[in-house]
Formats: sequence, C-alpha cells, structure tokens
Amino acid sequence: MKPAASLAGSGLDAVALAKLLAYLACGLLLGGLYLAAIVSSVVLGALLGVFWIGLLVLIGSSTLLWHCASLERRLANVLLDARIPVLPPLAGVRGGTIWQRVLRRLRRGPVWRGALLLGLRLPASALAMAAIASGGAVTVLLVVYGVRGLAGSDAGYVGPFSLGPASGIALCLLAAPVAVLTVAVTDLSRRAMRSLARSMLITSLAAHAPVREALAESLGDRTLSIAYWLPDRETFVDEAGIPVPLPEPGSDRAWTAVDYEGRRVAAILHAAHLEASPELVQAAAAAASLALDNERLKADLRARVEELSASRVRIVEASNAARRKVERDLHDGAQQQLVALALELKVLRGRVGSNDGALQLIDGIESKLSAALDELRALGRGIHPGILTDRGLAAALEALVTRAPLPVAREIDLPERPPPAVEAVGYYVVTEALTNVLKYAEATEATVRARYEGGDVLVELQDDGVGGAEAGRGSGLQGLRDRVAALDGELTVISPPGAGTLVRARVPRHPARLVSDAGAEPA
Amino acid sequence: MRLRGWSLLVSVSVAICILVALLAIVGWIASLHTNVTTYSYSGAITHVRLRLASGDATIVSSPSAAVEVRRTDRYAFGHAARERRSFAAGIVSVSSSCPRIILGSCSASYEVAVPETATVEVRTGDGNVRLDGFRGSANVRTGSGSVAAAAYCGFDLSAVSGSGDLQVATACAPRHLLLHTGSGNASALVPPGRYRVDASGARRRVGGVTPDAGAPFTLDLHSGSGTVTIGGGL
Repeated sequence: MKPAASLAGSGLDAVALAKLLAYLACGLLLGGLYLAAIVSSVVLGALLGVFWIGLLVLIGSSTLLWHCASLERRLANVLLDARIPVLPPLAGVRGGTIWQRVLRRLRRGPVWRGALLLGLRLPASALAMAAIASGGAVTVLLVVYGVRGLAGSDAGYVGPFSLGPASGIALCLLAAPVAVLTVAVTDLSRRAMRSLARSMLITSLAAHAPVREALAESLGDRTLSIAYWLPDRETFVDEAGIPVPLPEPGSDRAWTAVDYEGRRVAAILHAAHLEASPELVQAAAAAASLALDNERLKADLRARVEELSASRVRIVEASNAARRKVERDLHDGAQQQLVALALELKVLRGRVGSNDGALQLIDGIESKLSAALDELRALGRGIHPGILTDRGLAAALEALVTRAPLPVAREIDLPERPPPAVEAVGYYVVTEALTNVLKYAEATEATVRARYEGGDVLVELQDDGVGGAEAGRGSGLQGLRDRVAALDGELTVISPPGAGTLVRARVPRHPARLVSDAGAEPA
Repeated sequence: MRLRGWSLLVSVSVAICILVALLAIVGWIASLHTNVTTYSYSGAITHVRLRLASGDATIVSSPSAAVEVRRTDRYAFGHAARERRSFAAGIVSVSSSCPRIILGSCSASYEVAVPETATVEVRTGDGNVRLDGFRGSANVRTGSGSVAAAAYCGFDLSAVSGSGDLQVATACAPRHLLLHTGSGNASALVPPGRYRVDASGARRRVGGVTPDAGAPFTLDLHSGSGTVTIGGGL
C-alpha cells in the first residue's frame, strides 16, 4: 500500500473508501427492498399459511432471498474484498408433501442466517453511513468556522470565546483529531460490514462446502484439488485416502505446499498458470491451513481404514491359497502314496498265496488303509475341496450335502461362477453351518440355497432344529462373520429357540476390494 | 510499526475529542442562566409587533389597556439575546435575536398581554406561538414553529407557517380565519354554523360546519403536504 494513497496509514485508501461508500449506498437502497421482501413474505406466508398457497409463498420467497444473499456475497467480495466463497445451493423442493418441502427449506441454518444478513443490511448501513457522515460534517464545520474565525469575517461565539483568530486556530486544530476519528470510524465500519457479511454468509457455508470448494472459488480454479500429507507414510493422499502423485514440474499442473505450525499439512494442486498471484495462493493456503489440517486427519483415518480393509482381504486370500495348497499337497502327496501302497498290498496278496494268517493280516491292513484314505479325502474336502476349485460352488455344495447324514434339500441356482474368493466364503459358510446343524440342532432335515440376488451372491442353510444359536458361542459363527465381512458382505443368523436356524451370507458378486487389490493375486 | 503509530494517533484523538466534549458540556451546564425581565407600556396602543429570531411567543389578553411583556432569557456562556424595543405612534415594537453561537445555547421567550383593542403581529423563526384566550386580531408568521390558539375570540386571525402545525380553536365565529402551512397540518375548531370554506391539503377533513359561499365568516385553510381539518364544536 502506498502511504500517499492511504489515509494516514489506517489501511483505508481512497479506492477502498469509495467502495465502502458504494457498499453502504447499495445497503440503503437494497436493504429497504430486502426488509420489504422479508416482511411481506412472512406476513403473506402467515396469512395464507392456512391454505397451502402460503407455503408456496414461503418456498418462493426463500429462493428469492437466497438470490439476494448471492448478490450480497458478490457486493461484499467486490466492494469490501470479503472473499466469501459461493453459497451452497438451496435444498431441493421436489418430493414429499408441501409441508415437508417447506420444512426442508426452512430447517436449513444458512437460509436463516442469509435472511438475517439481509434484514440487518439497511440498519447496519444506515448506522455506518450516519457515523461516517456526521464525523465528516463535524470536521468540515470545524474547518469552515476555523477559517472564518481566522479571516475575522464573521462574528459569533464559540462557548465563552468570541470567534476570532485565536479560536479559529483552536477550531482548525480540533478538526484534526475529529478527522482522525472519522477515518477510524470509517475503517471500523468497513471491517464491521465485512465481518457481518462474512459471518452471515461464510460460516454457514463451512459445514456444507469442503475446503476445496472455498479454495477453488477464491483462487478461481475449478479443477483445483487437495492432497493431504501423511507423515508416517510420507505420501500425499486424496480425501478418500488414496495416494496421489504430485504433478511434475513443467506440466500444466502445479502444487503449493500448505504448512500449519511448521508441519507439512497438505498440497494444493492447481493449474500451473493461475490468474491469482503466488502470494494470493500462499495467503489462501495459510488461511485454509487449520481447516486443511483437520481434513488431513480425516483423510489419514480413511487411508488407514482403506489399508486395514485391503489387508483383511489379503489375509483371507492368503489363507484360502494356503488351504488350496495343503489340499493339493495332500492329494498329490500322502493320498497318492497311500493309493500306491494299496496297489502294492494287492500285489502282495497275490504273492502270499494261501497263508491264512498272512491273508488276514493283509485284509486288516487294507481296511485300515482304506479308512485312512477316506479320512484323508474328508480332511482335504474340509480344508479346500478340489471340486470347489475345479467345478465351482454349485457342484461343491451338491457334493457336500450328498454326503451329509441327514436329508438336505437343494435350491441352487448359480448359472455362472462367482470369483474364487466368493465361492470359498460361500462354501465355508455352508460347511460350518452344516457342522453346527449336525452337532447342536437335532434337526430332521435342512435346506441349502444359493442364488444371485441383485448384485449379491446369497448363500444360506436352513434347518428345522432347536434353534437358539448365538454368534458369540464358540468362534465358528464369528469366524464366518469375519470372512464374509472381509468381502464387504454380511452374515445373518436367525435362530429363535425352537424354530430352527437360518444362516444367510450375502456377499457382493464382485467385491470392490477384490477387484482393486486382491484380484491381481494368483488364484 | 505504522499500524501501531496509527492506533496511538486514534487513541490520542479519541482522548482529545472526549476531553473537549466534556469541557464543553461542563462549561455549558455551569454557565446555564435563566433571566426573567418584565416591563410594560401604557397609553393609546393600537398595534403590537414582535419579531423573535429565537424563542417562543405567548399572547394573552390584557385585563388593562397596557401591554405587559414578560421576557424569559435562557443562555449559556454569558451570551444572552439582544433586544430592541420601541413605542411610537401607538405601535409597540419588540425584536430580539441571539448572537451567532457556534457552541452554546440562547433563547428569549416572550409572554405578552395585549389589550383587545390592539392588533398583534408576530414573526418567529423556529419559535412556537401560542394565543391563549386572545380577543384581538392577530397576524402570525413562523418559519418552522407551530401556532396554537385556544379560546380565540377576535375578528381576524391569520397564521402562516413554513413547516409548522397550525391548530386553532375559537370560542366565537371568526370573521376571517386564515391558516396556511407548507408541510404541517392545519386544523380549525369553530362553533357550528355557516362558513365560507376554502380548504385544501394533501388530506382534507371538513365536518360540523355548513359550507355556504354567502356566509359572513370565512375559513381559509391550506396545507401543502399536510392534513387540513375543519371541525364544528362547542
């Protein structure tokens, strides 16, 4: 600021003064209209409120007042340099009864604050104008009478003194502090009007428009985005916690660091060639640093949640893979060796001839060997049945219930196979539920269902047993719940005492995390 | 540093302004004076003329043939109004005006008892004029002061004001009542009867009298932007 242009260093220059006076004059003109609009809409709304047309009046006038508030925002930005970001749009009025529409409109705090600002505009402007004008008038009068006294052209009295050169000098001297006071009052009213507009139009916004919107508005870059700094991971992430690369130097994007209390908080990513000067960007960044620090903490939290979810999927996937490997190893290793052993035993039986003692021994070994093979196959099925990998969930469930020692009805309709992880979860849900049915339910029959429903895969087992199953009892159901939740699914257990048990798993057909993170891993 | 200097300057200015204002108020209260002066003229008095630059006037009927004047001066800092008065050829003339005062106060109000055989002429600026039970003819002109007459019973009453209200209640029908004001209201309350009525204003209420172009009594009321009211009462 040039000292010559500013009024005695108050920070108020001639242009700012002219703008302030224009703002106040607008307030005198428009403020009356605002007041008239507010009063008439309230009166009309109240009078016609009995009929629904009064509510329409309220909706219409709130829209009108909102436009007025937008106008005020522009006036304050242009004339007072208030830097108020754009107002959030009004709540929609479609849908619901007319009462609900009106309430939705009027329940919004910003509408009331905006109306309050509009209502205060006239009295505040008039007050400021009166203060400035009276200060200016007193200053001018003091100078005029002082000069007259000095010139001796006028007779009169100033208190006990007659108007002459001496009292003229005193009046002129007194004009100086009054002038200073007038400038101070002017500066004060400028600040007061600015903070009035800001408090009525900006704070209402903070809860609704994120910092990004405010920065994009004040820097004039719609494409502006914000990356938050996570110090322990040393990366920048976006609002959702996804890592963001910073633009390379020389590209059409640039970034400005935001620090808060000496810490790196965020980076503002904006067009390389902004209309705003670098100083303005820095100032805006400094002004937004606290809010950005808060946003950063949220982004940090989201990033952690994101990581946890991904790691849970990885753990499930890893355990699935390990089970598949163990099953393959059993199938290809121990099982094959036992089969080979059984063949060799048959050869041995041929060689032994008619030694009854030896034949009896061989029979005993054969039956033990076949029992061991059955157990090994059952073990393999429990860990990860090969049929699940090879022929899919529908076939695996068919095979599972066929072997079950109680009648199980099948309602399976899966025309195409879900992803392996989803199949594995569905299979384990039914296996675990079936084990529980056999152990606790005392059921006479059960039904297994599997189908697509919307974008989900639905797998459930229902029995007619004693019910009363609890998720907390043992870790079986809780373990299932965790595995289902890892794929963004949910597990429901409905088990009223005496009325059977329904265990239902609902898993998205294509879990997002599976696609983005775990899907890349080898099956 | 400049801002700090500016704050200092503002503080000093506030202190100076408060100090000067306090001094002025204290000096004004301390030097506030009220003086009452009375004097009278007797003889063949036909006309009384009052010209008051600052102050109110109250005209009453004199029980004797003398003009009795009671002047109340209110002033501060020792600067009272200056008065010039004369009595010649049956005309009593009193004029007063305050000196030009930039800081302070000054007024001189008059209460004058006039014999009903004399006519009265009053001129004031912002002072109000009252006529209490006056029975002579009167001609009043004010700038922004109001004119009020109660129980008036004379021939001719003419009151003209720039922006003041004119309110006249007569005890008997006046031969000619003229009330003209620019932006004030004019109202006349006269005994019921037939009057030649000439009333115009932004709003006009006439009732209780019978307009009659041939009547011997005239009511001439006019207001530029105020209400004109004529009522018949008593």
